[in-house]
Amino acid sequence: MVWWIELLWSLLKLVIAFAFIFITALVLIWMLRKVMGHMQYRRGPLHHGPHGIWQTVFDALKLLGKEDIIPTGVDRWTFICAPIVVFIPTLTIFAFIPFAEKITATNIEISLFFVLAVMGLSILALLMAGWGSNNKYALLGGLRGAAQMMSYEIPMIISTMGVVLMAGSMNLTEIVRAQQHMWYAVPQVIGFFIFFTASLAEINSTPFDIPEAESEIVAGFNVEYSGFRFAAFFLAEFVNLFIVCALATLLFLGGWQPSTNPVWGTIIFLAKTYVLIFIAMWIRSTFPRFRLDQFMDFGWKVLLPLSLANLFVTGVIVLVVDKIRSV
Amino acid sequence: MLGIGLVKGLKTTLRAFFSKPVTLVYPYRKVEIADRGQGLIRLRMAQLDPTAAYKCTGCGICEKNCPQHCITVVKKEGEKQPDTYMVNYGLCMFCRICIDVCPFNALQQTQEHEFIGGSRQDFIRQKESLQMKTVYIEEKKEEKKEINENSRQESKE
Repeated sequence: MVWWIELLWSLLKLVIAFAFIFITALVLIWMLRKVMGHMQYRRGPLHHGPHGIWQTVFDALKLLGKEDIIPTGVDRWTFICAPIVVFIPTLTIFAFIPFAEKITATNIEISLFFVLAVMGLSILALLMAGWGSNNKYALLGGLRGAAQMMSYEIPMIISTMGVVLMAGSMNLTEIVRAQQHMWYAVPQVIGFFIFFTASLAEINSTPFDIPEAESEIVAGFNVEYSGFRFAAFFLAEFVNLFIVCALATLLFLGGWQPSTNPVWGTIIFLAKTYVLIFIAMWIRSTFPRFRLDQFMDFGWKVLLPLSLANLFVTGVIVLVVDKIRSV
Repeated sequence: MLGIGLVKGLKTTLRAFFSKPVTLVYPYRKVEIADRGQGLIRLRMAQLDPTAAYKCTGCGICEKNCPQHCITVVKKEGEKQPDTYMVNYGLCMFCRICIDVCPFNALQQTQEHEFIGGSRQDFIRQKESLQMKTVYIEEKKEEKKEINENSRQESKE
């Protein structure tokens, strides 16, 4: 009797996680439109619910009702699977993020490693969308996007290694517990800056959104998508933003500290994540877009050496402090 | 110093975030248009408006000078006022040539700009609706003043 109760419980957790993700995506899209609007001396959506809360829901419903266009000459399976593949890393990573002490779908010893490894799958979705569209501009957008995401993964991963050295473990819950006395943003200022910038580049958010370039080219790599397939890319972008800010809070801002109570812990964690999301949107409404070569220079010539130097210095200091303590 | 421009940009956007937006929520707040604002035109005919100081006699000069040919004037023999005076606002481009050339100053401009129609026939106006008596214009001005005063009071609150 017990095995199917376990199964139902797991399915219920899955449903709750999916619901949370989609509601987060809708909330973030509304928040972006309002924040960007107010930063441009205008209001965002206003009708459809108090301060336009239901606007995103109606947008999603509208996209659901549109015709499903598949252009001729596309690589059929690639085209159809790309919007699905773009969600896979997002949903997988979601299972490993702890919201509070003990509130996490799965808790394994190397959760940070798994998260960083799975994040690389989103490059594949971009390439599939670009190639499968039978459109040379989409292909170029997809290739540029793949180059961008690949080159910024390295500084992102290396900057988290400083945190791992200081915490002594790759388990995300352990890392948050080790920040009881001091958040890692204080000793690892450079690491925090590198992680935040590189992760904004990972998720194609302005000023790094060369593959999409919202106001310049039509839609970059997802130009041939319409209806719900486009909605999938659009939602995935915002869920990625949430995940990346959640990781930054866990690694650098102390997750759910100072509270270990599950309810308060979740609230504090979400509050810190939303502050980082606001900062990402603030950056999005302020800065112009990078040019591709400036952008590659920044990644390989500035962020990578900085992150390596950060790792070296952190390693030396941790070693020295350990020796001093053991003496 | 490297990066100072970035910080200044971020400060500007943050200040913009906390200040009042400059847009008006349109259907609930309307913009006050100056007296020289060019809206629809109105026709003054003694037949329909006894207070009209100048009168349209149906000479047809506005019809001949209109670049879009949107005015149609029909006058019967021996009468002093036009029988039909029709303006098609679907064609009118608000250039004001008709007002300039009228020898009797029978055409005047108003600030009315919000007119909608369900079909092209809704945009053809006859002389009765072109009257737009003085009372109507004053009423519209009062309405606008009220709306804008309410919005000022609300924003003070």
